[in-house]
Amino acid sequence: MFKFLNIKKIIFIIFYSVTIIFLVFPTQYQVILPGNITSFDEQISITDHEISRISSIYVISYEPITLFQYTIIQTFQNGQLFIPDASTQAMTMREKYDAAQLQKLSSYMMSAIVAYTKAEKDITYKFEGFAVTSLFDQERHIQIGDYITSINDILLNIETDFTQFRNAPILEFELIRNNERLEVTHERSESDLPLSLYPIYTITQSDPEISFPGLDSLIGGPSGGMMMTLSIYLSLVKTSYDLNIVGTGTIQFDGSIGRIGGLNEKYETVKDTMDIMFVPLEQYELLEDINDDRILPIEHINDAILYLSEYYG
Amino acid sequence: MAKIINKWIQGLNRYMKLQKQFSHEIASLVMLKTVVISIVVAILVLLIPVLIGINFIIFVHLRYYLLLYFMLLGLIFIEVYYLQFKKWIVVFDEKIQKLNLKYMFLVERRIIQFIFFIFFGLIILQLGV
Repeated sequence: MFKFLNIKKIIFIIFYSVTIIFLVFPTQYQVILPGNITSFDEQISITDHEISRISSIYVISYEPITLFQYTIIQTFQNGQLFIPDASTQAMTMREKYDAAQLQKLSSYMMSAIVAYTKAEKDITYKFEGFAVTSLFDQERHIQIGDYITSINDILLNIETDFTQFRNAPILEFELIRNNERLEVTHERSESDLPLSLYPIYTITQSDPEISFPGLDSLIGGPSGGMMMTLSIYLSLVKTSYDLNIVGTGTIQFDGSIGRIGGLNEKYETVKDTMDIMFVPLEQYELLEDINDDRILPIEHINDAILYLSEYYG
Repeated sequence: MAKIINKWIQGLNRYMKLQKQFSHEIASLVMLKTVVISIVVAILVLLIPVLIGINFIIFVHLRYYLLLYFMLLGLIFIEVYYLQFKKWIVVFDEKIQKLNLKYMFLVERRIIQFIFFIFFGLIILQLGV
């Protein structure tokens, strides 16, 4: 049956199969690689206002990588390789994408609220609940995209202290799933993964009117929050700078700046083109060795506004 | 100019005539077998380069090179497919050899490569890459 096979053909078939395996076999690693910038003039639109030319940086996060990709990254040392945490491993590709989109939605709304409030412009908004962006376990009683409105009969809001639920053996959630109100009870167990929640607001009215075309893009995650807040604020007060301003960091309701992932890769992405890069103060140590005075660590959105007006105003 | 257009029209007429003869002479089953085997061989030949390209997609700064690379692979795929088609069609039906398949396939694969090039370009423009 296999008469047509000779030694050359056998060697070729083995080589061919090994190469295919090398190119498709998944490893357990996740990688963060340099990405690109997204300008906010494509993400936001404000009636009768020009959006300031400020950009956020995104990186490529991918898992599981193949043996070939692992070898390339190890050889060229141009990415951060690590084994993803249990929460990431528990989620499907679709769930990870949905979670990143919810984080982006939360970040966009928060940015608008903080910027409008800071610029003293009219904005009214409604708190919808906390969106679930990670899983407790594989059972999926609580799912990605659920909006949790109360836990153990305590109505949630932005100031809710979640540590009060830390030792509760049973959690009774009231949540909205696909526009339906549900009650879900979850018995805590030691194998539970940490639940990640993002506050979701709906802007009911704003003057000037704001819309978010960027919500339709495939890029997700919350790390553009700080720069989006700055961009909306500068647009509202009609200020612009002739600089290539980039940055990364999440935005909190009080205007403080939160941590993000892949800071080194974000710096690698923009190091050749940027004039100023704002980064969260609490992560500045990650870039300290680079010794680049264009990197500006900030703790609050006010720090960025003050810096720009003081040095370039 | 008129001379060139005339030459093109004559060439196209010759192709249409050959195509008609070819379709008339070839049995459906032979055609199907040849198409399937040609596609399978072309896929096997290009599988490794395609997978290498897919593996590199995560490096976004290479995206322009990758687009060119995939376009080139598409054109090569069409070339390999026709080479295989020419080879296998005479294996399954010897009498087809009497037709000038070389000319017919040359015209056909250039047309398909041109259409592929246009479609690929349109898709890239649409994606705004």
